[in-house]
Amino acid sequence: MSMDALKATFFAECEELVEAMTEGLQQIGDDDWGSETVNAIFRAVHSIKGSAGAFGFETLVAFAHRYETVLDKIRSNTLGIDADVLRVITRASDVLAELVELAQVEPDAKPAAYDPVMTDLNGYIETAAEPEPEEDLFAPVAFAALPLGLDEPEDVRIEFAPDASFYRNGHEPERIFTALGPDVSAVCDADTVPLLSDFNVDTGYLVWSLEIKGKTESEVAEAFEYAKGLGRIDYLSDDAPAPVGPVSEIAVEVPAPPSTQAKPAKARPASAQTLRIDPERVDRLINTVGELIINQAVIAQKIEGDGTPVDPEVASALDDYRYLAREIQEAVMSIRAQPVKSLFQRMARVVREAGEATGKAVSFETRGEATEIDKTLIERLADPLTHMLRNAVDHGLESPEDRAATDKHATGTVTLSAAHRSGHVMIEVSDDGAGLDRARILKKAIANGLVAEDTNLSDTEIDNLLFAPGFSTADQVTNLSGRGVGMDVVKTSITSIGGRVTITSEQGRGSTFTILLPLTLAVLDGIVVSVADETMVVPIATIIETIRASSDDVIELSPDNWVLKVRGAYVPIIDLAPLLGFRTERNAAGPFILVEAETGAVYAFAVDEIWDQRQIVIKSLEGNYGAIPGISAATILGDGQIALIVDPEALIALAGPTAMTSHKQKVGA
Amino acid sequence: MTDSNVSADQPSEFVSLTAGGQGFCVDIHAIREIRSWTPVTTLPFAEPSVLGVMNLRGAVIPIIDLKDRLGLGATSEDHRNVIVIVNLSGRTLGLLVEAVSEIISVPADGILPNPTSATEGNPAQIIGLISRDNQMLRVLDLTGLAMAETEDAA
Repeated sequence: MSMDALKATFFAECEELVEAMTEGLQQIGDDDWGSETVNAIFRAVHSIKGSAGAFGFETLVAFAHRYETVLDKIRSNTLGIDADVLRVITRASDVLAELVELAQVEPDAKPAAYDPVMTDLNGYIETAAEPEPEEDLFAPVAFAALPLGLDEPEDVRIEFAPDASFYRNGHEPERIFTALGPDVSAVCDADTVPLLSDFNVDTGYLVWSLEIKGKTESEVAEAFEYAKGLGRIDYLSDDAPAPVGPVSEIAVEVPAPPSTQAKPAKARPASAQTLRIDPERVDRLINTVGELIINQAVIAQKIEGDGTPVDPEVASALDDYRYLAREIQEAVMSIRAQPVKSLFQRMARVVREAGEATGKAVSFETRGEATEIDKTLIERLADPLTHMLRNAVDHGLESPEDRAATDKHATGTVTLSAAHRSGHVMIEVSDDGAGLDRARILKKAIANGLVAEDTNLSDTEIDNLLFAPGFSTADQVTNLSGRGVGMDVVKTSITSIGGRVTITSEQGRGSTFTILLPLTLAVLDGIVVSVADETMVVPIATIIETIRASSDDVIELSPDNWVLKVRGAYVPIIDLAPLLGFRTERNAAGPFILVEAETGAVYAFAVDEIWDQRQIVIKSLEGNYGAIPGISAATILGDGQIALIVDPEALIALAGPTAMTSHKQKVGA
Repeated sequence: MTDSNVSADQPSEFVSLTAGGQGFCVDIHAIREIRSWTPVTTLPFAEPSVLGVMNLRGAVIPIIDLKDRLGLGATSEDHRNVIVIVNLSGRTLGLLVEAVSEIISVPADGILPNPTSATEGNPAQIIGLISRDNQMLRVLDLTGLAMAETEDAA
């Protein structure tokens, strides 16, 4: 394994350890903890420190060491947990998590909170009136070999008494000891060597007591592979396996090594056992399974397509194939799925920092942490969520004084929730602040030239101005949320992963930002349609309904401006074939697909034929070709032909100003 | 994957093909396979030489009319047309040509530089000339072709 690969393993492990640490702190915060909880946190910090030392991340090691010392005091009951201590250790774990993140790019950078938290930690170390913590107690472990794989390294103590056959076979104890790595202490007990007169050259007299740090028993056993059967090897750890090899007749009393270094209880952190897989391998699997599904559809179409009766046995085998293929697909997809918990935990840190920076008391609540979504989505949600949460604290929540004036609890609440909703994941960021100040937003939008002064906008349209590029400008930059990134960037990043963001806000009661995401990036539900001679797919997420309208309902306002009458409302028609350049003449007869844009406006897409709804595997066009206006990706249909997936938002934008000027329509369902 | 990897004294291998009735050749290392023509899915807003995309065992690959791309007009429909699938710096695309003839081995000094470089219409796309059996083969710079492709798509 290269150094980079080792580092990647280290960071992946740190992620789990930080999670374990945060979980422990949460339990303490919820007042639902015992000594095992503190132990778990301690172990996590200790392991981070140990591995970080191996890579020479000195800042990280130094901090982890301080933190660990304080935790050790709590563990040994020399320091009680009160609100202050809890605050400091929570902040310390934030700093530690941040240090781990920083170590990936800039090993010796210190986050802003590093110094104050370090001072706080030192405060506890000194108030407990003890000298510099017993550095040497932990130091050797700190530089233990890097833990690899599933076996957690332990300190292994063994007693090794080779008999004469060992030496006869030309083995040398030193070789084996060296192979065990640098952290081996070997003590030879020569007391058993008799006087020269009694000395038998055919007997092995020497007994070694070895202490090997940072190795698993299996690793040690591997090193002693050649000594097997050539002497006595006793494992002195608690759960030692049976001695390897025959017990020689020279039984020697060896004093048990001092037990002062007894490790904390053997229990592993409660987090589920995980298997680390290179995401690329999973992607390859997902791709191949996607092909399998397509292949199944191709076969089905070939067999059933020509209208001749199908042998029932073939038909049933085909059904099994379809079922199995779907099953595999779901299983593979679930490999990528991860609970949003780790993401939410990271966000807790964001909120805490935001609260501190703005001087607002914030209580952060999370719901639906167990909701599973695609790992890629989790990664790509981190930035937009960070921004939205900072906004919620900075702009959403009122100052404590203002809250007092409106009879609200001085502590503001920011809630982050996740839930599955009909094939989608819904993530909500809400605050119980003052709600959006629409008058101010409108004023600002006018000042920035985003809307004309006399525009009459609905509440939703005003709210959506927040997402307009160029809305967030320099004058509202606070050092917290205004880091030059506006809500438009949030929206762009959500849209780029196939999601949508909407806002609801109530004056005086707070605002809610809702993100609706597909469950995975690899499949999508869509309606298959014909446009001119082309087969295309319209993603179902934006579709309200499909309509076959009578010609009376299609009204020409001007040659370029047609509307469809739907239950008394008029909806602008976007004719896909001419828009995409497939044909010049208009299709005024439909059928139509009603889609709702992010602004809430409704449009009718005119297509030539609506076929059916199905789940499709998304194929990127950008790898081999490039982006196409109005098209988000492609898919492969049952007959092996490629169909393009349209991007409704982009089509609406393409349709240009005629359609864009339309006002929000209420289409009664 | 290009002939630049091959040391100068070793002969380079090319696949000769016909587009617009003229002889071209392409570095054999870039060619992945040769397929017969199958209908493609038209792409909106693509330039005329991009015929569309086709399904190559689950991958979506664009098909380019080589004749059209070289400014020689669109290739007329013919069941004998073939698609040469090429791999270029991680991208895969198909070139519609009229025929693929043979594999030729040419010593490094058998490739003459294109004397018209940077003066004619598509200078970057023809990087050399090979004279063979009284016929002149133009060595196509596929990377140049693909670059143009990227610009169109962007």
